[in-house]
Amino acid sequence: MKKATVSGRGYFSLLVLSMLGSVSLISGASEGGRDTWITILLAALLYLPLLFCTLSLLPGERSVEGVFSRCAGKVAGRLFCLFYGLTAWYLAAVTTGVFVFFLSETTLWATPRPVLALMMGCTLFFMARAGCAALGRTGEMLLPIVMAFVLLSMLVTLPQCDFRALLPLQEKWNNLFQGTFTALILSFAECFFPLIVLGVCLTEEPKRRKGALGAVFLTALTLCSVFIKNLAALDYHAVSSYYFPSFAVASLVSLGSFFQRFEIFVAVNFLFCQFCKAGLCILFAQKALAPVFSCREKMLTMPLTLSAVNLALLFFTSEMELFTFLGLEKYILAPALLLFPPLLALGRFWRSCRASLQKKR
Amino acid sequence: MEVLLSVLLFYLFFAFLDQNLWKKKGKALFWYGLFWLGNLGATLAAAWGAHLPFPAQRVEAFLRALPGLWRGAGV
Repeated sequence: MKKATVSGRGYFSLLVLSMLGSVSLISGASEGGRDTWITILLAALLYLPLLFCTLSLLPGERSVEGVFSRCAGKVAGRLFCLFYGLTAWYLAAVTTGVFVFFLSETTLWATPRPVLALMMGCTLFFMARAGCAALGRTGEMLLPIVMAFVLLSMLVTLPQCDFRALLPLQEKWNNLFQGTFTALILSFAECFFPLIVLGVCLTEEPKRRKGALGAVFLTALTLCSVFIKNLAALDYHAVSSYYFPSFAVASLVSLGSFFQRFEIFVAVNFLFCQFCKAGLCILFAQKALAPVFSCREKMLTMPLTLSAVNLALLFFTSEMELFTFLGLEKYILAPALLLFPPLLALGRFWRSCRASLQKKR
Repeated sequence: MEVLLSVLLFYLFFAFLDQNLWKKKGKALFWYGLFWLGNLGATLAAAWGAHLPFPAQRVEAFLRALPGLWRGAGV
């Protein structure tokens, strides 16, 4: 059977889109305040060791189960598969929740939320069923569009920007550290799932590290510029009162009658990134849970998608509740994304040392 | 009514797409079908404003109370 593979460019594109999709969890009211752009740069720097830990789990592996089994043995590997599979499924549900509330608050006020959630579920099902190879090609196509829209939104906002809003810098060190922690977990560390699921499908292994580093660099630069643009256009007090500040900034932009409702471009960008992130989470969940339940991967696609959609609908009853809960998201995800990857890397190193010693004897 | 109709149409479409429903037989089909109907029921319940007995707000309140519990225990 031919193995589904993803190219180096597809890998890079999907990583960037997935990381850009994660930033919606932060909203305008980040702990970093005016210094949110600094917290993003610091978080990107702090993420690099964690990225190398995650990448060190991948050489020679061709399945998600194999990654965890190599690090922790067969039984513990299955337990890790279960744990990470459920975490990815939960993350897909949260992303669906954000998507649904974004659409119902900004553009489709009258459409019932279950219908929006099922629309997303339908797309996620097709994405997860198509597999890594198709997703990689989609990512290659979407990334230039997304980056062009981001660049365009920055250029058209420039006349309304007042960069004095960025000052004073570093008002409170404590807030800066808290904001860095939030950005580290929610913008970068969540990339663990795409890194693993795409890493095992990558055809060109040497491009893994290069692609991941490039994706972190590009995402940090993009997010930093977007936060600066939002702050300079709206000022801090307005930015912190919006759940989706980029959309609010775009709705202020006036380009005459030729370009009306410019915020649609921002909404399209947001939706592309959310689809990629949630699709990769469902793909990871099905690959991790299939060996646990001893079934084919594709058998799990529909049950996982439908249950994620229903969790999003039943767990979050309002937008305010969702974003208040997301304030705790970083603590909930910290063990899975911050603590276990270095431990898994250590486990793999220890097991490979032990195996080479046994061979020598 | 329009919500009910659109949800049912979506699930009909999902049923058409989901090959597991067509391929499974006997007991496996029964359990899978039950899971499916459970999901349909959950979506319809959400459309009528239902939520989990432990929604995000309650979970968040519980989690925020944990550090207080630790302090109370003298840790």
